Amino acid sequence: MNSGARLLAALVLVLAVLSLAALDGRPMALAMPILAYLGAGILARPEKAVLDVKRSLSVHRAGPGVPVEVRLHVRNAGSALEEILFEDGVPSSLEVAEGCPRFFTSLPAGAAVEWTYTVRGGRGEHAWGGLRVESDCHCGTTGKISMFPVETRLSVLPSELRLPRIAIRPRQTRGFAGPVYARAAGTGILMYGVREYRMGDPLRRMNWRLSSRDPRTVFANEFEQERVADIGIVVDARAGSYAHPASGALFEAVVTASASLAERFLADGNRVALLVYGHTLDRVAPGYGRRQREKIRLCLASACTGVNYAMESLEHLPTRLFPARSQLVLVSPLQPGDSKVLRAMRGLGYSILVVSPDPGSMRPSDGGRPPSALATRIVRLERTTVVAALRRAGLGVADWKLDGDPSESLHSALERNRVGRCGGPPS
Amino acid sequence: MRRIGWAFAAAASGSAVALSLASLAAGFPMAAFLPPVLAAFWIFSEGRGMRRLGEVPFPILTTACAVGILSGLSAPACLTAQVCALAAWDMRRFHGKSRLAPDNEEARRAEKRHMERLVPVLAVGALTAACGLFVRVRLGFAALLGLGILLAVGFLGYVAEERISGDRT
Repeated sequence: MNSGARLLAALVLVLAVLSLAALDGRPMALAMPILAYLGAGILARPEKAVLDVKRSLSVHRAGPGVPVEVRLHVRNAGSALEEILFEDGVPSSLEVAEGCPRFFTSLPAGAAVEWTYTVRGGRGEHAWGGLRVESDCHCGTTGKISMFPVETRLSVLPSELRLPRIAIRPRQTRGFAGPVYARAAGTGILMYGVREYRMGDPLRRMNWRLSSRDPRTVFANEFEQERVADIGIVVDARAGSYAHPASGALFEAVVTASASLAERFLADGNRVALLVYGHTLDRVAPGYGRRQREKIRLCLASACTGVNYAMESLEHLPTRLFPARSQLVLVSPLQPGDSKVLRAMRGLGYSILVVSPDPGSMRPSDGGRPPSALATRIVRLERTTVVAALRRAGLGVADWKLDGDPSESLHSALERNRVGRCGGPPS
Repeated sequence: MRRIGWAFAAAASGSAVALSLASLAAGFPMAAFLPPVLAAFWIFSEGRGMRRLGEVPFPILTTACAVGILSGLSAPACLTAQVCALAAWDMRRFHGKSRLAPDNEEARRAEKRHMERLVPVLAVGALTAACGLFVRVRLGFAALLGLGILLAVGFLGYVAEERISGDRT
């Protein structure tokens, strides 16, 4: 019995009470049309809907704000259904851009119907609920509501910024040719040193100027090898790092930077791993190429901040996930206690680059109250202290200002940490 | 607005006019202006996101018809107003759904089918009500008891079947 039937039943009751109170049958006579209407509804009750429902998306992975077409195909595998209303369970995190997820029609037995609508949304994993089907009698009083679960997921991937090649200097590289200077002599283009000539050295490597100074020895130039490196990207998803009026936008900036860095490192041929350090440990094992890029983008699509008391500090960062002496890139707004842990990790042999969006450079979200000048000053001082401590310890810190074009500002922040600084001095 | 929307407006207006004329005829000029105001609100609320508020005029009009009939208003006028109000309530609900039809043709077909079923139901209801108003029948206690038991059994059977089908779903 739906709300309409309940209303009509209540009205019949009111009319009956009025009749009894007035000892007059005429008000009860007025209930006759309502009773006839209710009776007709009961007699024309619809059968239980037996439907084959299929839902398809134009793409299963899209960028933020990109329209995605949803197509629903429903076939009636049961008896004929009159006045049937379909309502698709669009995730609340998505916005319907075009069309309507609701559809009204009549379905004869064996007939099929198809309709489309378009949705768009922000970064995340969006899962559809079932299709709600309201089959009604023509009086609208004895309808049946059924749910047809159809599992559909849309991954809205994080946006990416175009970054130029990023200079890193890990202490250990892998055996394949790549763009990272390997701190070892071999073939390359960057001058590494000079040694005594050995049989088999090509003549173009001879250092004639030096050889001419010593009549008994011939010298040859050595170049620095260029190899691919192991890079671990750590995304800070601790809720405590985002205590800011625009915390959502700040975390989105962190995710965007992580996706852009992963894209750049993989494009350069490096082996990249990802760890989202927050209320859970979401990780992507080290790998190369486009498949790895997709894995990382999918992991970042579902990343969100959260509280886990065991992981409030970076002390419990599982460094064993990353190869020893590899390059770590931490993308985080930084907390005051982080510098100590990061310095200890550098002591373990990791080269660390911190890409840190500056919360002080962000405008509060629309409608949000701007923080007081004193609070801003305290936050700025605290951040300056942390960044200075990290730089003193030889870590590279890209201080990313978020008040301008994010791509340019991230680029310029990384440029300030050229080779020789971001990994610390060669050891 | 679709044709069923206009039909809803006509039915709501008809209900208000019948009740107002009956009030004027019975010498209640102060009460005569209330039904048109209510009907105007009902029509205005349609399609303006006032789904809940739009449900209010129908029970008020029905209760007004019953109170009017007890106050000496013309019984046929009150019955007409009641039937029109019920028709308007049904058409308003259906209009809310039919606007989700994929195209005008489909909506028009659905409206036609709906009206073809609604009109006989209202006619039967009005006829029964008219009989109730104008035909005097004296029922004995046994007949009344039998009717009551029949109604109760029918209602319980309906509720039980609804529950079973709900469990299956």
